Order: sequence, then C-alpha cells, then structure tokens
Amino acid sequence: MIITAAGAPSIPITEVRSSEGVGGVGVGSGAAPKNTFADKLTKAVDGVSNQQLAADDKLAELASGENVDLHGTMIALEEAEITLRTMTSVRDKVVGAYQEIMNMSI
Amino acid sequence: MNLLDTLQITASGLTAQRLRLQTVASNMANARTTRTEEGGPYKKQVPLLEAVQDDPFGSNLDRAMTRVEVMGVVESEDPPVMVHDPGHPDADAEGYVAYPNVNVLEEMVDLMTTARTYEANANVLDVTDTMANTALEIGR
Amino acid sequence: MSNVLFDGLHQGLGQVLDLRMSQHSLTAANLANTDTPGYKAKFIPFDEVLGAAVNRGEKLNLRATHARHNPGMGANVSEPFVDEIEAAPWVADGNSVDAEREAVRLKENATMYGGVSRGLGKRLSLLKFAASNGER
Repeated sequence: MIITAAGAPSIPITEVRSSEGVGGVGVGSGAAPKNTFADKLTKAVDGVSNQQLAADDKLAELASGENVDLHGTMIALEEAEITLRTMTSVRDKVVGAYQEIMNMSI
Repeated sequence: MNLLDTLQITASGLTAQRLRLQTVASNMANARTTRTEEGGPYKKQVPLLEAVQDDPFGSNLDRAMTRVEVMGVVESEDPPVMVHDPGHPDADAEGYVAYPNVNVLEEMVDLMTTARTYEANANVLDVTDTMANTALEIGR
Repeated sequence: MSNVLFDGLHQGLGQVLDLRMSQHSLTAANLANTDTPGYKAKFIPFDEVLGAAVNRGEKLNLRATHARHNPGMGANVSEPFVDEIEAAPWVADGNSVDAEREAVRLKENATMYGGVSRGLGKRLSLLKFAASNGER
C-alpha cells in the first residue's frame, strides 16, 4: 500500500472498508459482504467443527466394524486435531491483535 | 475383563503343554523298554486334560473363561506289542516279547502338535502384553 | 456435565474395547484347551453384536437399554452372546479348537483393539486440548 508521488493510494477506499472491522458492515459499499473477515472466520470455525464430526464418524465406523479403515481413521483424527489447534492459534493471534489495538492511545 | 485372569488361562495352557511334552519324551525314551519295576513292558503315558471354570456361577461370558488342568497322568491300557523272539531275555513261555504300546510315529506327531500349541499360547501371551500396553497409552 | 463431555460415542468406544478384551480372553481359553477332550471353541460374534447397533443408524450408542430392545438376539453388550463351534464329526476327542482359526482371530481382534484404543486416546487428547482453553 504505497502512496506514490502521483498521490493516489494504491488501495481503493471501498476495499479498505470491507476488509476491516469484525462487524463487517460495508458502509455505503452496496456490495453483499461475501468476503468479510467475519464470514471467513465463521467458515473456518464450521470447517473445524465439520472435521471433528467427520473424525467421530470414522471412529464410530471403525469401532463397529462397519468400515475398518485404520489409517483413514487415524488420519482423520489427526486432521481434526491439527485444524483445532490451528484455529486456536488464529484465535489467540486475533485476540492479541485486538488487545494491542485497544491499548493504543489515540 | 480381568487381564490377570486371562494371563492365568494362558499360563495353564503353557503348563499343560509342557506336561504333555514330558509324557511324550518319556514315551519316546521308553519305546523299547521291555521290563519295568512293576513287571511287564513300559506302558504309554497319557495326560488327562480337563477344562476348569473359575467362575461357574457367572454370566455366559464368565463361564466361557476356562483354563486347562492336568488332572493326572495315566497309563494307557492298550495291549503291548508282541514280537516273536525266543532268544530275548524277556521272552515269555511261548517265546514272545512284550514291547511297549508306544507308537513312535504317533509320539512324533504329538511332539509337533505340542510344540505348536505351546507356541500359540506363548503368542497369546505376547499379544496380551501388547494390548495391555496399548490400553496404558490411552491417556498419554 | 460429564454427560455432555463424554457422549454416546465415548461410552460406545469403551464398550467395544470391553468386548474386544473379552474376545481376547476367549481366544486364550480356546488355545489353552487345544487338547481338552470335548472342549468347544468359543467366540463373540461381533457382526451380530455390533451390527445391531450400526443398523439402528445410531452413532455406536451401545447402551444396555438399547440392547434390551432386541431380546431375541441376546445382543446385550455388557453380557454378550457367546457362540460355540461344534467339533467336526471325525474328530475323536470332540475338541473343536482350530489353531489356525484362533491365530487369525487373535490378530484381527488385537488389531481392532489397538485401533479403537488409539482412536479413543486421540479423541480424548482433543477434548483435553479444548478443555484447557488451548493450552497444552
């Protein structure tokens, strides 16, 4: 985001508005907020939850003998753990960034 | 399910097979023994095995957990093998020598099955150990 | 609170481990009694015992109350149906233990026990992670 000597900033104002703010309210932008941070966050959380449910399903299938897929089940469980941990790290970073901003004196 | 009970069952299996091995060894060693202290030829030894329930009043599953016990070793009442050999010191009045009722080929087969069964039981012991260790790792 | 944390799947997994351990003991008994006259080899028919739970479309909710809904099957998980194998007619001492069959069952059962055990462990560690608010 360089403000060149020519004067015009390289990122238009509407884009700045729609990518800031957890509330995701695009003031006056008129476009549906498909790509707001909040949406991305929600999708990520859903993804983590779906991954856990999928891992649960695979484990139940293994235990009941319905589908004995040893490595598939173990991999699904690992994936669930990794996405959960990633999600948690992201959450921590977001919370940290938020607190940093809140602590800034205006 | 009590792990220690399982180990006891396997231990009983190993003991029973070891005892069987001893009787086979005795039979093979004495396959041609024509005289014994009680008189007459050596008689083939046969171990008597019985399945013993530790919990006869338990559930279906409890009653199925049976160990094996060697109730005793008896002498086979099969007739001795009579061979006509008048010159033999142990020949009887008609010149027949009574040889033990031991069939060496049968004993060899018994020996092999005993060894294999012993190995199978030892394998169960290994697997029991592995499963127990796996269980211990659940919380790690 | 533990009902929320440790749901039906958790209970079901524990019960499957119990069953697998019991099957292991039956194999031990069978192999110990390889030469016992008249002894019949025993096993737990897993397809029947667990299949009922799966066919009901539940996620392995193997509680005793459900099993009682199928009294004809005898598929009570805490007291499972134990099947016996009849001896072949040509076997002199009536013993039906087949070492090869027991060996296969032993390995298969141990594998399943290990798989479910590890799966349970992983699931628990996930719960632990979440429960400690993201700290190890």
